[in-house]
Amino acid sequence: MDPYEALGVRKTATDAEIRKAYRKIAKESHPDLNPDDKDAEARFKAASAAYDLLKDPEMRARYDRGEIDASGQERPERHFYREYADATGNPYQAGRGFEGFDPSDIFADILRQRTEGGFGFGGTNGGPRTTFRARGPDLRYSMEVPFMDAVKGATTRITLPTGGTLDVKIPEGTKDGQTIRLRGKGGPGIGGGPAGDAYVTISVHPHPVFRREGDDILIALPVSIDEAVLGDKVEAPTIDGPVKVTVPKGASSGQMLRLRGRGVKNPRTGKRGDQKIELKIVMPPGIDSELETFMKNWRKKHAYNPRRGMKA
Amino acid sequence: MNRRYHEEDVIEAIELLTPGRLERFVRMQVVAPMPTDAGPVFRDIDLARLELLCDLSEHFDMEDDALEIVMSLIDQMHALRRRLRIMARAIAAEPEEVRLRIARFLCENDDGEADTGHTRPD
Repeated sequence: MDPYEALGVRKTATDAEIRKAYRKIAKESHPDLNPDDKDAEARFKAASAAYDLLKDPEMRARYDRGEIDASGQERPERHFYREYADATGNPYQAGRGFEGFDPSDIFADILRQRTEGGFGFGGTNGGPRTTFRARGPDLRYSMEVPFMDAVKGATTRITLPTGGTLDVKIPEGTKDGQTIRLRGKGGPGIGGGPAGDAYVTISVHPHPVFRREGDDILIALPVSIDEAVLGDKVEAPTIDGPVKVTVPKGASSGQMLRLRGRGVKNPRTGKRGDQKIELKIVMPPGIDSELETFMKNWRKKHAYNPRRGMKA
Repeated sequence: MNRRYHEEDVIEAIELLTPGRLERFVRMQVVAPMPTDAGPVFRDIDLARLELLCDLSEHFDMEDDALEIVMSLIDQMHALRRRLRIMARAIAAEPEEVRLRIARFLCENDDGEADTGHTRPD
């Protein structure tokens, strides 16, 4: 696309006019300032690419002389904030949690209506306030915790940007992106008002063996070919330590075993999820001649097609 | 997806970001990296936020105070949008009669043009 056209300026436009044109488009089409506008991103990217080219007098002159074209000016793939802003666990809006309603909250508006009956909300104070009191601001932090601490619960101390520390109790079964509210640990109140709350958004560091899916724990368990063919009892790690599991005779890769109640404790129901074990058959480090000969003979009489019935 | 970046990776990745700017944004707490033993660590969401902060500083010449106000408004907007969506889900789960009554109320009381989200050119 012609960069002048993308910015809506004439070829003779001054640098100031180009900058002004870009600012105007950015104002109207920056995806983060216009999150509901689906086409904003395309317009903004086109204008940005054009501006990147035209803001540099040398590049602009080379483009005007036909030495370079407008392509190759695209910026590396960029993610806009609006793509993340709505995700659960966004640490930048954690101050508005769901434990209890803020009286200024739109949800509280709904719940309030039925009991209100024409009077102002919270009329228990009796009369207008003469002194100014205000609750302190809520403060937001984020921290990363090891997988096991999130699963089993832990207490961690974080160092705040202001130099102080905060003890954070990570409840058992904490999920990635979950926010923990520490009542009264936010900024101090004004005029004797209560302190605000601190909100700590937890980011769970992945574990090399365990994965989590809701309240279930998932692992892939390698088994040898003889264990798979003959069946065996083998040791499998769980979040409580190793347990013996039975690999059934004739097991295949991808087959799932389930250890009931070995998953993560659900903080609401108090029940534990399961551990799911996906079997993964692993060949011996080398194929020795004995195995090779055996397989060749076996194939003559017992060949089978595991892909039968597979339709693309 | 959930990648981690150190200060130098972030400065490398974002064209308009200088060490001075990054230090300024962190000090203003408009971006909040996670403190770790190996220094502050940034996530994808922080990178996207830094891009926006750079746009606002560079192209709109925003000073610290203006930047804090704009970011605070953007955060409040996203929090509200999220809650509105949750409320819409709650309403969607209601019987049709209730939904119709709500829809009627919305039509009668909403005379703005809030549905497109487009900024009107002046």
